[in-house]
Amino acid sequence: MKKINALGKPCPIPVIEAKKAIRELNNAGGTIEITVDNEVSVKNIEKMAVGLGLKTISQKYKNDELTVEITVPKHLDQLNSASSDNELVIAFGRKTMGDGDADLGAMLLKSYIYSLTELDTPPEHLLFFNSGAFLTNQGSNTLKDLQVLLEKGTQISTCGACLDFYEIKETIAIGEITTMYGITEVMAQAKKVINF
Amino acid sequence: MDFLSQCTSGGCGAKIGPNELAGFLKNLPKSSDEKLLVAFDTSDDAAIYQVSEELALISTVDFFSPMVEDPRTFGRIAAANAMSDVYAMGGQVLFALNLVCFPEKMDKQKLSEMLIGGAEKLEEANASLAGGHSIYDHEPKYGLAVTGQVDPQKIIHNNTPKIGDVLIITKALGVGMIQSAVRGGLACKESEAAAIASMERLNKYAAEKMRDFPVHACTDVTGFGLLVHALEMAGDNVTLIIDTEQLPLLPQAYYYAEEFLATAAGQRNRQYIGSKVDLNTVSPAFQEILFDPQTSGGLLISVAAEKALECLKAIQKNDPVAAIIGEVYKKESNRPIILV
Repeated sequence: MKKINALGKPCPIPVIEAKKAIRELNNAGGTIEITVDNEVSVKNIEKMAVGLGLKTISQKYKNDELTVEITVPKHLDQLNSASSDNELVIAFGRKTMGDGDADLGAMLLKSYIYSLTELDTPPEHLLFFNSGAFLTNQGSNTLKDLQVLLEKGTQISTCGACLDFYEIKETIAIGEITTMYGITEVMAQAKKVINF
Repeated sequence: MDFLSQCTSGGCGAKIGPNELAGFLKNLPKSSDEKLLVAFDTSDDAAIYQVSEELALISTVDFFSPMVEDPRTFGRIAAANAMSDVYAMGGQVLFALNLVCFPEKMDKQKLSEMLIGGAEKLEEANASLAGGHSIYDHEPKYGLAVTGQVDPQKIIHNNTPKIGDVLIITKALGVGMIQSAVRGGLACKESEAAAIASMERLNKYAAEKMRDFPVHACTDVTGFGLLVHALEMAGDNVTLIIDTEQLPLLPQAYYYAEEFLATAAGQRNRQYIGSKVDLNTVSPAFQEILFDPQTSGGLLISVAAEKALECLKAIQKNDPVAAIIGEVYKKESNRPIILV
């Protein structure tokens, strides 16, 4: 067991020390006992540990001597990053399909999104950015089909910066708002990405 | 003609990158004058020259191109930033000289506004404007050469933290990120106003408070971002543990970081850090914040642990966003900084 004496240390130093110890035990696993002198520190350490999915036991010895024991399993890293691969992600960077007549392009895209609802396995995630953001907005003629996909378990996300840019954030009609970081992560974890 | 500089990045983001700079400085002769207590060879913030047993002069200079549209606001920010080094070293500002570059064709009213802004901040610092120098240039630039004083026994260096110290930062981070969002037309009014208020803020108040506490090291966080300034502070002898979750952030700064609205200077800082710091446990957005250049940023203070909370509370009276962000450890396996 690794013992840390954080008596007399102001918040958030005890949390920082506990995190550092967890980091050091990352691969080997083990337990950490951290001693602090106030309830608030105990609560903060517990919050942090629970956030990382770790078990804690707290004890009070005296009024100004409390301990938190944190159990760190082996290979904590892998535990946290065990995210599943997404099957199919489709990224809509425009509101039309293909080059050419805009009305035709819009019709094709509506038809494409309808076809997605007919697939045996619906796509994992649909991403909408740049003018694609209009597709998830009020007045979009694809909303009904997107709703069907949503009910089948497809995630629908629209770029927040794009909604801001086109000043249509207030009228988003379906799905959630995401960031470039979110878009990057979804694309990076996908098995297959189709781009429009 | 637009006041806000479009061709180069304004503010501390316009600084020449730390690794490029280190290369050039190596070739310069080192001073042998014993009275020069602090020179450029320690990456310290300003020069200190001892005049007598009780008195040393602090001399520093800073200038950059505009990062805001309003000339008067720009003047205030430039002056607050230029004086910051004196405060970081534990000194008081005595007087300053203006440095001005201004386009021949630009409305001179803007020049006047800019200088009034600078003078306002000097007045707030109880310092005198003693003159200056101006030239024509294709892009406006403004700053000041600042002279301050300090007791030679009470100089605070930027690279002398002691093991066990607690790290305090006095201003919220994300100024560069917000300015970048402003340029992209994406920033909300609230975050823009908060960034400007932060940049205009004098480090004087925090510096006055820290004088009463056992502060072992201090630097002002500017163009090199928190991480590179922290690296300078760690030097060769200690390891700084910093918890990114404790960093005080300006409104929306984290959101803009998630949108990768980072500056070129931020990327230069990242390249400088290279593999010296392990960023694996830090989300991409927090990484951007760690590298974000801070125009007229706050003080990073290393203070004895037993007085840290008291010191923080004293600083928070005037600068409520100040926060404890980490601790100083004995050097760990050649790692100057560990992020948890």
